Order: sequence, then C-alpha cells, then structure tokens
Amino acid sequence: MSRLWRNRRAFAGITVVGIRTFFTYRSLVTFFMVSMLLQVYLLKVVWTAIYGSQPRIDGVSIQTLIVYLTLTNVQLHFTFSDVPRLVRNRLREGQVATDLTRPLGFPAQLVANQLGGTIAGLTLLLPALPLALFLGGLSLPASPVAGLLYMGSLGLAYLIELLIGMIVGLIAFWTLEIWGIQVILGFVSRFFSGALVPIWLFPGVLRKVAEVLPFQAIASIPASIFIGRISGRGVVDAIGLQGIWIVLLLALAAWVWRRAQRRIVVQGG
Amino acid sequence: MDALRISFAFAGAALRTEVQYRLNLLLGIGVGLAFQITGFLFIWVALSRFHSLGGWSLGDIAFLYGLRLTAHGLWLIPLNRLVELDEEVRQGRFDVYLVRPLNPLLQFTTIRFRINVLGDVVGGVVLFAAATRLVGIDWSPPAVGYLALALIGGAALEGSLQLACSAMAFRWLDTWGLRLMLDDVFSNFGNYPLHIFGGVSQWLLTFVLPLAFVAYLPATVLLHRTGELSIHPLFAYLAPLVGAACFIAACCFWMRQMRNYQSSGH
Repeated sequence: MSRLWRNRRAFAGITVVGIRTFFTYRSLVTFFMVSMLLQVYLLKVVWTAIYGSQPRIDGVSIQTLIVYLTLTNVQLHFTFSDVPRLVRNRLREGQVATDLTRPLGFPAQLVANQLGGTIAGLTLLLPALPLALFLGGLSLPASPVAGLLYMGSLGLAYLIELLIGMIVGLIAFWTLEIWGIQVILGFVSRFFSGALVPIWLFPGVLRKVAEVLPFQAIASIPASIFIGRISGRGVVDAIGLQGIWIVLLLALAAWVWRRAQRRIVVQGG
Repeated sequence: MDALRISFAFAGAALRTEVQYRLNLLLGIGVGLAFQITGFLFIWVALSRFHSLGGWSLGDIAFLYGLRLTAHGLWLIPLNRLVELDEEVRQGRFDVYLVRPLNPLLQFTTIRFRINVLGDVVGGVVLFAAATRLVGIDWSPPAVGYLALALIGGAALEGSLQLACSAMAFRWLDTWGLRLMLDDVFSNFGNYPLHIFGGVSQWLLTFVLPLAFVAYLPATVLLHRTGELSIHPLFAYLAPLVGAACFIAACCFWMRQMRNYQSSGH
C-alpha cells in the first residue's frame, strides 16, 4: 500500500493513458455499445413474448423484469474488464519487460489502466442510458435505501470483474495465448451472471451451478437489490457473498501473480 | 471451368495448411461452438418452464435456430476470408490478385481458409438434426428439395450482405464495425420467430434488412406455419430466390467497388 502511495503520480499517469487509449478505439467502442443496446431490445421482446398474458412470474412483473435485464446488461457493459487483452498484448510484444522495471508494480499498472478505461467509458452513459430506457426499460430503484445499497453492491461487482480479469490475464504468463479461454469465459460468465435469464428462473441444476459461481455477483446481485427482489436481511447476505468472493479472488490473484513472476518469458527483449 | 478447378486447388491447399495446427483447429472449432451453445442455452432455459414463445415450441425454435446456423456456416465456408479484406487492401497486398489471370474475388476467397467456421457448421447440423426429431416433419421429396434450396438461399443472402459490406473496404479501408454489426444482428435476431417483434421491427427485418428470408420464412414453410404470416405466403416460398438474387447483385457490386482499389506501400 505504501508503495502504491509513493507512486501515486505514476498510477494517475497510467490512468490517463487508459482514458486516452479508450478514445482511440472509437469504432470498436461504438460497436459494443450498439450491440449491447440491441441485446437489451431483443431480451425485452423475447421475455414479453414468453410472459404472454401472465401478469407475474415468481412474483416479478414483466415491467420489473425488463428493468432488471436492462440494468444487468448496461452494468456488464460498463464494468467490463479489459485486463486480459492488455496483459496478453504486453506479453506478446515483450513490453512486459519495461512494465516490470517500473517502481509501480505490474498489477497496480493493470488496475490503473482498467480504471482509466472505465472512467472514459462512463462518458458514454449519457447516450446509453436514454437509449436503454427507450429500447429496454428503466425505473427508479425500489426504494431510496435500495438505490444506495445498489450503488455499493455495484462497486463490489466492479471489483469482482476486475479480479477475474486479472486472474485470466495472468494465465497468459504460462500460455501466452489466452484468446480461447477469454472468449469461452465470456460466454459462460454472461450466461451465469443472470443477464439473459434471471437466476431465479433457472431450472434446478443450473441454478445450483449459478449460485456457486462468482458471476452472479457481477450482474444479478446488484440489479436484484435495485428492483427490490433482494431486500431486508437478504441484502446483507448478498453483499456478504460479494465480500467473500472479493477475498477469495484477491487471494487467488495474489497467488497466481507470485507464481507468474517466476514464469515470465520476455519475447524479443 | 479452369477458374473453378484452380480455385478448388487453392482451397484444398489452404485447408491442408490449417489442419497442420491441430490444437488451434480444435480451439477454433470449440470457440465457434461455444458461442452458438450459449445462444441456444438461453432459449432452452427460458423455454424450460414456459414451453412456448409466440406460439412456437422449443422444437420449432430449435429447428429455426439450426436452419439459420447451418446457413450461416454455409456462407462462411466459401467467404470466410472477407474479414481479412480490410487488412489486405490497407497493406496493398490485393495487388497480387489483380495481376493473375483469374477472377480476383475467387482468388482472394480461396487462397486461405479460417478453420473456426467449421464450428458453426457442425453446431448447426447437429442442432438441426436433433430438432427435426422434436418437430416431426414429413420429409417428402418437395420438402427436402425446398430445404436444400432454402439453406443455399439463406447462406447466399447473409453472404451477399457481408460481401457488399466488405466491398466498401476498397473505398473506406475499414469495414470492421459494419460487418460485425451485421453479424451481431443476424446471430441475435435471426434465431427467433420474427412475428414476436411485431409491427415496424418485423417489417424492417423483412424488407430493409432481409433477415426474415434467411431462416424464419423458410421455417414457416417447412413447419406448415405460413398461415400466421402477416405477408403473403408466396414470399416465404420464394425465399431461396431472394437469396440468389441478392448474391448475384452483391458479386457485381463487389467487382465494381474493386475498381476503387488504390495500392499502397510499394
């Protein structure tokens, strides 16, 4: 921590680099946002058709479900972790050698970069939210308290996504290529995060699987707090679960990082 | 005829190159499959409790999904190289195709093969085969004939739109976002019975971006559901022709845009 404080200016500097990088990939960024919005629209249409004339399924109305689905998809978009791609590129080009000589540790550099990307990404909330409201649906939180708890839970969700990204990225120290792992993990996490089918509607076995994976903590938990599906004592349990995941993933990331340093291969260096 | 023979020789060599890298081959196919499995898993889980979507059962939708996915894999087999056109134009590597005495489009598309498209074909065929057991289709000779035409027509239709988009690389040098967007819309929206979108969206997906002709309209014919269409059933029966017409138009468009090619870097 003291090392991080000593190098706070370097950290800020890399964050700015992250912001700048984001804005150089304009067409990519636009594509991902439009794709997310279309996904929200598709989910709205499909779930409306599935609901048919039933006013509520498992106590959730179609309007509330649409808010939940819109939120989870917008959330996943804005908390997306680009760390795996970054690590892979630095390793492939051998630039990781320079990164490792910097006084600010490599993991901290990754966090700074990711933070920059997220800050830059948030500027797109301005067009994204009205469009998401139009193509999907949004509402106020179930209560003001639910709104506040949602913000807290969302912060934790961001940390979990960041840690998972970090662990996946560090695998590249062994394999160099992680594209396949990244893509497959992307599909798995998307599905089990509850952003396509809410977890409470998963059939038996799949629901058990979803509950032991960390992905529900990224999307489903915050959004469920927002719509009031999780409330009262349930909120404590849900946020507690997010906390447990953060501790576990942090420990795993630290362990992987210690081993990765000994595995390093610098290409062309 | 010579042109075709040479193209096949190119394609065969390209395929042999890819098969050399076995792990990459398996991974590529695996990723292609994983993408489609997630897409179908969503429908399967969503329908596991509710049994129908806009009046279509899980079997009906699996049939539609398999039909679209197979058509998708089929267009990718000959045209999977389109994703590399931007780069070849930017680097000036397209020169090579212009000096050889064979149609440049044929040369460009057959010179290499991106193996991961096989994942889509395999996924589509497996899903389609499984779905036909669920829906119990009477496979009379006309039905089989129509299915074959519909698959080719669907592949030609999606392929022609991708071909037309990629052709803009000769002018813009960058068509990546456009092609990805098109692919995204097709692989998300194409797997659903389009009447659930209703009104404007359905009309747009039929007559502006002719997604309906790829699999939805042919599926209504094979599932005997043309009665629920809001347009004339004749459109559904003639879907394969729409694909063929678009494909011819797209090839002409591509060759025309090719004249805008400016070599660079030499």
